[in-house]
Amino acid sequence: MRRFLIAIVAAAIAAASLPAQAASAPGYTLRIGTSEDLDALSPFLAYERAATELFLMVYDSLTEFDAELEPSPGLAESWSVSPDSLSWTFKLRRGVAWSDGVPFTSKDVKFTYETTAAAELGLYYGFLSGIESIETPDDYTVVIRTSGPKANLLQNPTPILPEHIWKAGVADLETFEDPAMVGTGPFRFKEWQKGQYFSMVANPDYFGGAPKVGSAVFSIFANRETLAQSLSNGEIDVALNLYPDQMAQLERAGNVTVRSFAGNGFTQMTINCWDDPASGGDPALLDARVRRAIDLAINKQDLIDIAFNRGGVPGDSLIPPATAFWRWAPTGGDARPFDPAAADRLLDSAGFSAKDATGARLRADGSPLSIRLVARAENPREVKAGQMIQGYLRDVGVAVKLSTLDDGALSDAITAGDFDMFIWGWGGDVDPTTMLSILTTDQIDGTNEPRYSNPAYDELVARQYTLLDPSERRAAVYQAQKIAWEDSPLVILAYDLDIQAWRHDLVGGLAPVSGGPVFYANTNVNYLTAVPVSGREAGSSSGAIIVAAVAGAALMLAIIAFLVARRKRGGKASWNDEK
Amino acid sequence: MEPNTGARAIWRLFRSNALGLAGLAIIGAFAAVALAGPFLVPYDPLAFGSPRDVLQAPGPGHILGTDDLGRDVAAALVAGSRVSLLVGLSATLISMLVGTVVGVVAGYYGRWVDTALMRFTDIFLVLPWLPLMLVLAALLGPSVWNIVLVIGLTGWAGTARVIRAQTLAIKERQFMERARSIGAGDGRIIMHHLMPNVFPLIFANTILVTAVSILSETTLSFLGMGDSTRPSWGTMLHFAFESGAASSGALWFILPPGLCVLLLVMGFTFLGYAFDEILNPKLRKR
Repeated sequence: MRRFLIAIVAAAIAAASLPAQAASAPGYTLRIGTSEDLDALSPFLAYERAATELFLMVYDSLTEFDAELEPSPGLAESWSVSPDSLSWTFKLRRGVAWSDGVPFTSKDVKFTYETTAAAELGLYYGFLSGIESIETPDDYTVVIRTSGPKANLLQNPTPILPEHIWKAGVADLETFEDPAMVGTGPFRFKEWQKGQYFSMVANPDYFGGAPKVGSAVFSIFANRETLAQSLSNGEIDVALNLYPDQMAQLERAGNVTVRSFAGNGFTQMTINCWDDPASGGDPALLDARVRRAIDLAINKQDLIDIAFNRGGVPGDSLIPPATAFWRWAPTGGDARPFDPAAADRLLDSAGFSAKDATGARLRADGSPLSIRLVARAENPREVKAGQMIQGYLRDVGVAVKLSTLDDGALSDAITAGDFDMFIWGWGGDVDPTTMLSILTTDQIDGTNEPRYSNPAYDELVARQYTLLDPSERRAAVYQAQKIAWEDSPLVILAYDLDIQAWRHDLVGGLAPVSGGPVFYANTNVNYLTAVPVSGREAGSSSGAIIVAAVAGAALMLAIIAFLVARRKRGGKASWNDEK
Repeated sequence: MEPNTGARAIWRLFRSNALGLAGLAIIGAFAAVALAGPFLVPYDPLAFGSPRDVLQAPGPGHILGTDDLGRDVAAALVAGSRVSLLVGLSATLISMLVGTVVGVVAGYYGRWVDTALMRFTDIFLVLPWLPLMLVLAALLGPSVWNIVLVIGLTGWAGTARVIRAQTLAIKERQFMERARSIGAGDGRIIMHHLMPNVFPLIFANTILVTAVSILSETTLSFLGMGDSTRPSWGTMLHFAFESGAASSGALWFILPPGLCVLLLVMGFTFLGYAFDEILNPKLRKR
């Protein structure tokens, strides 16, 4: 009997020591918790920020941003530009292979750029505008000729795709996906469970050196409370998309680094500007005065303090303060501080001066002016903001019907142009072209969700990236922002505060990119430098729990066995006689 | 009609039923608050407080504190009682109408009508109830009346089963045979002979279904399917949860609506059991 007990305890101890050994083996999993999910695996179809982050990890572009957001070598080792600034020659890295083993060559670059530019799909084709031709003198040289000077050619994150995989999908890019996501990046895509997680394993052959972690997984959290708690419990190493009121609690723990910074993006209310019989938008919103009045009627500071838990600064222009060089801030006569009386006057002048008994404005034909507003059901902050906007607009006599839809249903409504107003967000880029192009006419059916069209604006956006002199270029960028501000197809509610936190006792090597974000930073540098903190491997805390649990179970088993054995020997009479 | 189901006799039995009286008192109190409340405590869900009013603990200005948008919790609670009761009762009405018609028709006509209707009922019984409601609510969009419709149209199957069983039992009774032999038509037999005998069961069932309907409304609203401009207790719980009231210790925001749902559902359940006991002779204590 005793020998049997010793065997049990020995087995338990052996079992308990197993997970600790597994954790110390190479292959630490970087566990990131986020509220944002992918929307598609194809760069032609994805618009969500999580997807662009995934593309940064599994694909490469010709040039990539370094930790200071300066262009640095990616798949291109070096480059030069002709004296007339119209011809760029890129020398590609040799010996790079796609994750399926096929060698990477200049043909892949030519294929990707030509396909992307022709498809006019997704987030990337805007970066390729102005490119006239692409030549490949040899397997490791790409020559790009542009129609005019192109100031942002090196700020081009378009992911280079393998021609041998994607040529099968050229005819059908609106549905084609490469489920394996064959790429050259530091990570290799593993799987995506919608609404749950997406994961990657490290690419040991990455040309920039293999990542220091073995794999990475992004877990999707529907609730920020659970997200923060999982970080505290050590179930994840990194938490993104946290709320400001969670910071103090996390910082108190002592083992969490919390970073809060003005994110390069905003939360906006998009107003349907589609002037077309097929438009499902309210005709009242086609008048820029009505849109400006809506902007004036919203107390953005209170909205941020209440609905966004102080997580941002009031928004106005299209370029956020995070890219301060390009940002035009409306001042003086251009400024539009919260002013319901001015909103009232604007609405009166727009022809909505008649009101019913309750103070609600009427249209010219006497029907009540009622506008639909959609907030995303998944995002409680935006739902709260929607409720508050409903209140603010009622105060100036505009009835708002608020409803909530999930991301997918709202995307469908946006694609169909069947909405009045909705609340969502945009993340920006290092180069101002990305943010400006969400309102250009050629992006209708793409990122131009309000379906706004203004030739003067289009011309400025197309011209600004041909201006090589930064101050000249900035003047054009300013002018474009001013037009967008006057026409207000987007009511920019807030430049969101981004809050990211990580367990510095579990993972090290993370540093803010250009003083801002660590992740979602337009660069993959932190995924390459992230390293498990030695001695405190992931399994150790759970390993300790397992040891304790198994030891406890073994002890219980031993006690039970002991009691049963005793009973059988000593208490035989009382136990068996009853039977 | 059986002598025991006379109104006066029922009241006499009910008076001595402590559980039933307690239930009636609870429901009465909530009904009074729901009817008189909006006149006593005006509530405008679109009037927000200033940032410093957000999630304030109970105090002199706000006896139950304020919510995540700086509004008075007590006023929201009173306004919510109206929506919760309204949705609960309206949804029950739909459930009972559909359930009774299906149950009586299936039980009375029997044969293939019975088979067809009961298989249809079985589908609704075995379909997972919550996902069905969520899908319907998502399709119809968030509004109080859509929630009524969703709960009403998913909650009738149990009632139909019970009513059918009772109809089958009564159909075999002699007075039914007699009515038919003197030439009464189906309509007359159902309305004048069958219904009066099924009615007590319908009544007791209605009260129990109301409890379930109120709970369903709370569930749907808690999961974000409610109408934010007409907040019910479930909607309050939804926003309390989403704004992290539980972990930040704002119990005044999360407990009152939860306790109200608990009390009201308990009231209906007590009353339902009491009537079940009174109207169902097999259950009655002697």
